[in-house]
Amino acid sequence: MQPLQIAICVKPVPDPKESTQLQINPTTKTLVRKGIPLVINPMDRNALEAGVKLKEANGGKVTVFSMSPPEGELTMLETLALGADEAILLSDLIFAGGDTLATARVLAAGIKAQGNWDLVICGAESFDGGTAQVGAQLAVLLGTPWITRVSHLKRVDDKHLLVTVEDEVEQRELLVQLPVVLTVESVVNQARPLSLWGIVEARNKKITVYNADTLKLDQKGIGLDGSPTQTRDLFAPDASREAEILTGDSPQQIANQLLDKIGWSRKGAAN
Amino acid sequence: MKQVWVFAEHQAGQWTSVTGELLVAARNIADQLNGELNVIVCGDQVEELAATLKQWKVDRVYLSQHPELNFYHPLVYTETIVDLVSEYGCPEMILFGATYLGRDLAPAIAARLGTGCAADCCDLKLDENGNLLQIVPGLGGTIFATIVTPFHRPQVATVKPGMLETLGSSENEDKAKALKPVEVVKVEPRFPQNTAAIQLHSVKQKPAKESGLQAAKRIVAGGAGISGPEGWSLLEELADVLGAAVGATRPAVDEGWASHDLMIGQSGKTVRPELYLGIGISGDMMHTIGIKGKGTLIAINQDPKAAIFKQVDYGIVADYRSILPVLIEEVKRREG
Repeated sequence: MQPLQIAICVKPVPDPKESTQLQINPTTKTLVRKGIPLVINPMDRNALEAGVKLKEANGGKVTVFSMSPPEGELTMLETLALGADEAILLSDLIFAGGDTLATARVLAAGIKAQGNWDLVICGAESFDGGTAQVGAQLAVLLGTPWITRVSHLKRVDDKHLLVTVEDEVEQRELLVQLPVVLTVESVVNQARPLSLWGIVEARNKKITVYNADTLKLDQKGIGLDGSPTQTRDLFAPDASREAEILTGDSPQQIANQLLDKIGWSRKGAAN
Repeated sequence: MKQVWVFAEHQAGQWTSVTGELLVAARNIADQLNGELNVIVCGDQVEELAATLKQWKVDRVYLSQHPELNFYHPLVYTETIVDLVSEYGCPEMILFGATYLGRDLAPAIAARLGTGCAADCCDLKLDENGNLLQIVPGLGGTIFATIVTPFHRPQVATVKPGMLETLGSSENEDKAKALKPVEVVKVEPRFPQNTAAIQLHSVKQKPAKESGLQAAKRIVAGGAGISGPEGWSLLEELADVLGAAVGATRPAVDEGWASHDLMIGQSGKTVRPELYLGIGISGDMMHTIGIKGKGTLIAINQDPKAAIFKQVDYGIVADYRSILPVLIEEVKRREG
């Protein structure tokens, strides 16, 4: 089968293991990621793995695209060690604070600037934002079809993939023609761990940085100011209840108190 | 006149539950705006179903029927709705359920129209200028954010199932008999030139995995504090004697103690039990946002500072391993 030019979109996210450290910038109402190590968004590792597997089967090239502050470069290096051939870091101060559409605009510009592509793969959703919107929006901007939340994918011929998706009631297999944008679930594959050899190889691969000028991006549609959605307000959940703490000399006493409080008597419950 | 649009989704010949929830909220919003509530229905042979929308006092239905619409095709659905916007005037907002389909379609339509899309809202309100306040949980699971789309129309949003109040269905149907029929506007679907790039190859019904969690009157839920499968068995035994369904937090599911369909919260189910007992649960909003209603809530947690104690009616600060066995015995004893 023909080799494929594959683009993978990767978001560096705060390490999920350290997510309790996250804070909010009260002015911009965005997440402060400072001090928390960035890692590849978990589902994007599956997206990368899917691309690398397709390349290993029939050749081609895997290019990673990421909109990120310069600190994202280390994450890019990691994607190269995991099998990507090249990484494009889309980085500019004016990209900061973009919503999903503003982000998709930058990614689309980066992918277009890089040239021909057959397939774009993204993770279905990010660990931190979790909106799951960028994949479909990117496809709209690139003018191609899209399939979100793919749980299984197989290349069937030069121009077609067979993918599986599930909604609430059905599982569907779809035959999709390239070029297409896919977003994948974590079950789509088992992402490979970092290998020493991969890290050694990554040193010979290229990371290119593009900014808004190189991408010829119209500032009106990017970053915090170019985002159609804005965060107006942040507020803590309404802690509307204050627990009455049940205490006692023994677990038996506490258990009895609890059942009395909820009116659990003979012949079952009553609330 | 200002228009509020709802995409009414149906599965297996019935409205999805979130469709009813959206329609109640949207009718309310349309009334506040002195506007119309118009509903988009796509499918094959869905005219009779569309007629049932009158129970939500819908003003107009844009009905697009075609055998090909029986299957959700992202391009066809997107372009059909984009056509509607240019044909019938830009609505103030288009609301979708945060289902597989809604989460796929809504952001695509927003991108086509160059407008904003708020994902997985748990509440919708209007501000004094008529902007939609889209309340989303997020940013690490400890906070709510209010998202607005102030300078673009339509405001597009997906709303998580189970979050908005709905009317009792029987009460609705009675009222509906007295209501006038809905005006139906038939619209042609739009098949863009690359429609054939996505073809349905096979369809399989998913086995109904009804855990009964959403309808359960009593729920015993466990979190990371259970710390192992043995503890989980103890929790299941308590649920059993209480006649309760078992629920779980994401960490408990990730650990493999509970299956994914038992997950309560932001990425799981929304429940409205009369009695909820949370064991070894810290109280992260990602979980507790899925607990609704006015039932009695109880928490057992070793940590007296756990956030869960600010969200429940009764708390027990203890190692659950010391409480659960006696609680199980006491329930059995009281049962006789």
